[in-house]
Amino acid sequence: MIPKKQIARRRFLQGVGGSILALPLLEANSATGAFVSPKRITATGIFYGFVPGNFHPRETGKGFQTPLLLKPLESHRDDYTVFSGLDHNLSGGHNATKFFLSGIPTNHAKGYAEANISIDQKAANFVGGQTRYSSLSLDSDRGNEHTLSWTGNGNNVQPIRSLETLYQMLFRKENHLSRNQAEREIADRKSILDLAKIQADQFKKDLGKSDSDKLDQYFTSVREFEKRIEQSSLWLDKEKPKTGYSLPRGADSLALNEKTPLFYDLMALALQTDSTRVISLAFTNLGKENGGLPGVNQGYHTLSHHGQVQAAIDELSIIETFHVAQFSRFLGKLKQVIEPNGKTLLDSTMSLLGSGMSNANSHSNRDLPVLMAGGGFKHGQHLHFARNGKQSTPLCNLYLSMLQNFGLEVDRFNTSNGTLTGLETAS
Amino acid sequence: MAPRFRFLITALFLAGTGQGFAKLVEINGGVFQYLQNYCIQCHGPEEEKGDRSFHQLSAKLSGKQVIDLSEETKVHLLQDILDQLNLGEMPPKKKDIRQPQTPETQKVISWLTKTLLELEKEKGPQQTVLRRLNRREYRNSLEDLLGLSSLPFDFTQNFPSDEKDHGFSNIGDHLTLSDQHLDAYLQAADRYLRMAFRFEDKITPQDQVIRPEDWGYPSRQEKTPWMYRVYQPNQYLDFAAGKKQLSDHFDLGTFPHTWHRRTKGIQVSGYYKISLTAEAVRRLSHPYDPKMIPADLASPMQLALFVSRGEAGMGSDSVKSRAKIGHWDLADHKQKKYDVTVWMDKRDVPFLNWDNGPGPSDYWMRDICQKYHTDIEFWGKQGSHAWHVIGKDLVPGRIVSDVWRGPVVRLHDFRIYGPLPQTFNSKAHNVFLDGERDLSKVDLELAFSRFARRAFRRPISKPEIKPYLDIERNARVHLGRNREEAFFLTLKAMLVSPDFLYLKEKKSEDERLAPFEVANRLSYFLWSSLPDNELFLTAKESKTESRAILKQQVERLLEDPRSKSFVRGFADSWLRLDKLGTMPPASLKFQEFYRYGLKEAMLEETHRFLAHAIEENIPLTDFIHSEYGFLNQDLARHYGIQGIEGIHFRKVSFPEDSVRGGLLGQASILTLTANGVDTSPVIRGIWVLESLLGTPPSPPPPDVESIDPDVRGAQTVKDLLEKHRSVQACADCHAKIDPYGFPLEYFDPVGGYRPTYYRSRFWKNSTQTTELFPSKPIDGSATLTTGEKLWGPRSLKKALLSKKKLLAQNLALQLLTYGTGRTGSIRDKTQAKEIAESVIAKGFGFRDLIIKVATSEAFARK
Repeated sequence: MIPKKQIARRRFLQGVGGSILALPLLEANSATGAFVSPKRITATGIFYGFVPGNFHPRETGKGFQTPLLLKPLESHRDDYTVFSGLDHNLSGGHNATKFFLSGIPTNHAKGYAEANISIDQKAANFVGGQTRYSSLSLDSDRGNEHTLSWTGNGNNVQPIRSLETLYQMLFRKENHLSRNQAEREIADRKSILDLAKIQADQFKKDLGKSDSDKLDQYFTSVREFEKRIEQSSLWLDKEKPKTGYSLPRGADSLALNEKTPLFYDLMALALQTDSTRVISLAFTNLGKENGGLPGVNQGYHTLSHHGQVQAAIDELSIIETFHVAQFSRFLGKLKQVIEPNGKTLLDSTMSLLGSGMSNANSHSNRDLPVLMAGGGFKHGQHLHFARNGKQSTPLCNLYLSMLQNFGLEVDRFNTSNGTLTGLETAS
Repeated sequence: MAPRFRFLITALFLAGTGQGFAKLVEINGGVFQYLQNYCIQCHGPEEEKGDRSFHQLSAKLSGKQVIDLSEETKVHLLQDILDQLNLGEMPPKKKDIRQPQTPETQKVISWLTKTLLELEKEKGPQQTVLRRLNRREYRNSLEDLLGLSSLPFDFTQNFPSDEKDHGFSNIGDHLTLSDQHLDAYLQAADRYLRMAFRFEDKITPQDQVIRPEDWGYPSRQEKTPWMYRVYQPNQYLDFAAGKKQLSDHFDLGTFPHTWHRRTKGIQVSGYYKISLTAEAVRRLSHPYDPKMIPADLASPMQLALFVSRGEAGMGSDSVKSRAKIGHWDLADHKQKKYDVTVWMDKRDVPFLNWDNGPGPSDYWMRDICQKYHTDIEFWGKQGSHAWHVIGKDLVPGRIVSDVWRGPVVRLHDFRIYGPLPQTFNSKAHNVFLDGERDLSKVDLELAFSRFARRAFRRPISKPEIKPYLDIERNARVHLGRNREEAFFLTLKAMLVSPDFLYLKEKKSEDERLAPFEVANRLSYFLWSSLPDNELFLTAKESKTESRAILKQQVERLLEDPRSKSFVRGFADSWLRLDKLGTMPPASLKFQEFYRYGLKEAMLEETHRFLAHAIEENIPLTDFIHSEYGFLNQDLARHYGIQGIEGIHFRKVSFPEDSVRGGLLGQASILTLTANGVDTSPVIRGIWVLESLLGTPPSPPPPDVESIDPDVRGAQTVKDLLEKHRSVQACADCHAKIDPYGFPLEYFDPVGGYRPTYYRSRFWKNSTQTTELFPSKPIDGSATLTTGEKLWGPRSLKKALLSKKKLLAQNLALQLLTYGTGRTGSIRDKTQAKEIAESVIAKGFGFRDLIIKVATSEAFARK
């Protein structure tokens, strides 16, 4: 009997190179059936919302008429679900958009065991050291402090804002010198942290209770830092995947219209090479030259206060359509990658697009614009959730469904009160 | 001396209720009657105005009215009632509403205050919780510790942002720490330490000259370029373009491209002296129609000097990769030398900009050439549009640079001298290593003790140093590091230890802090940094226990330049200046905001206003209204004030009928209370209530949707709000908020004065100006709930002046909060009130108030 040849996933990817196109080799091996594709999550958050009437379809169910902003997704019609009626039951305008992926504002975080952890970080903790990066938090804007990802200690994750940095993290081969340096750095840090713990024990001795509780954060941080160092030293010995993909020169100084597809390309590559399984991506301001978007002559924020003036809404729609179209392009990329089990990368990747603000014109955080594609759910529908009195169905219910699908055995996530009804996995 | 309150509350009994203990307290008969007489009518079973009702506040039990203070909602109601009575807004002064006598109200206020205070005491400690250094404090501490100055870049800019509590970023309870912080701290400490300690061989300072041809621009300008720049070999470089808002797209800044390609920038990190000689040429003597040059040539030409990380700092959005290190008004046709000493890292590059220049030269230059120079031929390209013009009187071979007579910045000399000796003979070397640069000759125990003493801000015993000697040894013996690396590793270990990162206060709640702890609080209050030697010695001799000596120290700290950090930090927290620019003003409508860099000017005005108030012990009432402000030409232009020339700020007296003066006349405040696009009387009203009067309105109920502005037609903000207020749930609160905002409608979203709204403002490319189309006149009228009528900024200020006591109390509390790193407990509020009283009696001086707060019992309490 000929033993079935199992190909380690990592070997695979090394052979594959980073090419983002479908690779026949992968398909050929799918017959072995040995490959279980890991689940992935990506979440794209837009700062200024989407004009509600242009995002949410009027009809529910499968037969909805495509509203203006969803038109770019038409080719993926059966691969996404658009939701209405979901939100975090929050107000606070711009301030509350930071909690899009968490549902809990920082000042409420104390009441929760995992503070205001966001869905991506919850998933990242689950992945742990299985991938080189347990998650990637990305931000297309260079100056803003808008953030989507929050840890279980209530800290915001500092996002990666540079395409070049991201590219290097994913693909740059460490040369001997930089490897040596990294090793020394790790040894130095270990030694410093060992001492830090001892010093903290000393420091704690004559503290009162509240202070002593506060200092626990220090111990936790040291532990987590050690874990991170441990993980990076593990991966130091493993070669990074190779890729034929390269960034254009000066990628970071391009305008947003050119940077955005590059972000999504690198995201697709990061997932394909299993460098990470969890990614968040934030969009805030347009940056230079109004994002390089033809027809946009005013700032994003200015336009979001359209005051129902049609000309302003039209200009705003250019930006909002751009974001949806880029997301659609990303889904297309994921679809082109066929995994060893014969399914596409999109089939294993829950891809969320939405905003923590619905109507920027009134600074409303209710009835958020959200859609989710892929990940093995039954899609192609508009799910509406009616408000129960003053309370909306928590958006965290969707996040709970996603986390369960990701493999977590949890029955609660932040403000959830159940999984999302009507959203089923395709078996 | 702490005030002692008589125990007025009679706890009747404690009963287990399953959800906790009920805490039943008898309501003072007068209070109950007061609520019945004056409040229940609107806040009772029938009306519930403002979502508040008091009829179920208390219940009758054995003949007494009792309230259950274990219920938080009830405590909040009491707090709210107290706030409203203090503010004097309730009951509203309307015809059909019964009005209480002042003594009656006073009695209720005093009962409420005392009840809430006692309640808080029973709840447990309201102390300062272990404070982590925030970003500002970390940066200042490291720079002071290591004696580093003139660092153009902020090495803490990648730190996770500090958590804020109502604008305060130094509240111990709120600040968190994560592994990301530790990572960032280690990286920053490494950078700082390697700047401060230089063990390599000294390098003799040298002059590097960037010659006219080193800037990479042509010696003859054939085409009208995006940017007109031409050099004369061995003489000078002329440039006719530049703009406050830089952009790499147009190569807008004047960057030494050729020099950079040749040298790759600065070769050795260190201190350098940059000197340059420049003049303004033909600013007023050019022959062209000045309207054709889109720059304000009535003001002196400004030259700005930057440091850039390689070429990275040239872009429009790469502000973190450049730093402005010099900014001068150029003299007309008079060469002057300018110099600045600054730290530059390896690969850094200096570059220049005509800061108030006309932007890219292309199109306006073309227009001028066509009109004035018909004897040349020129080519150009704008976007996809290329053009070639042959003048009708063409003299073959003659081109733009042969004939150009427009205004230019003329740079005669540019040189960089360094690395300066202080790079190697650094302060840190001298202070910690007695100037010794060979570590094998250094007594490490002594060096580490000195370092720890400064970094940990307290005396250090020998045993405390041992672990650090061990780690240094371990690094050499087991990790194989050389002496220098082991030294850096050890200092890094100190700088991520809790002893450095946290302000330790051993004492338990209610106790007075130990002398060193008081000294630390003081220096972090007024400097956002560690104590200097004198303060350290004062603490060491326990002299901080003497109020007189403490007062001397406070005065000394306030006079030190380091108190700038206080002005900035406190303005961010109290006035929310940190919000300025976070909602960027619309770039087409408010082009001047960007064109003149008004954000920086606005901040500068408010900072100077506060610094001046400290220096001169100005009465707090000047925060509400003053007859002066601090302006430079850009801000004066923005305010429509004539005769202010030059970039430097100076005290300016406003005419009597000016809308300026006080904080509410400052563009900074008026901009941060708008959203960059529209103004909202609601946001401005809330700012007045919160920041000036200290009586923030309660947030809207979460299920109330905010208004969806519809500006089609000729609606004004006032119309919109009227509509909003027709909903009863909104009306009650907004009646208290909006009147404080309406009089400020005369100010647009960037704080400019406007007599009318504008239908739209157009940016005309040809003239580079905005054009306004007036629409409806501003209606700034409003009626306070007290019945007082307001119609504009001056009447608003007058109304606020009558509430100056509230301002004083609020400021005392804000200072106390900022100084102690804990948020206002009722006890702090009460003590702040007492502090305020004593200052009110003495003439409301701001400096007096700071001193009173810093020397108060509350300030030095754990």
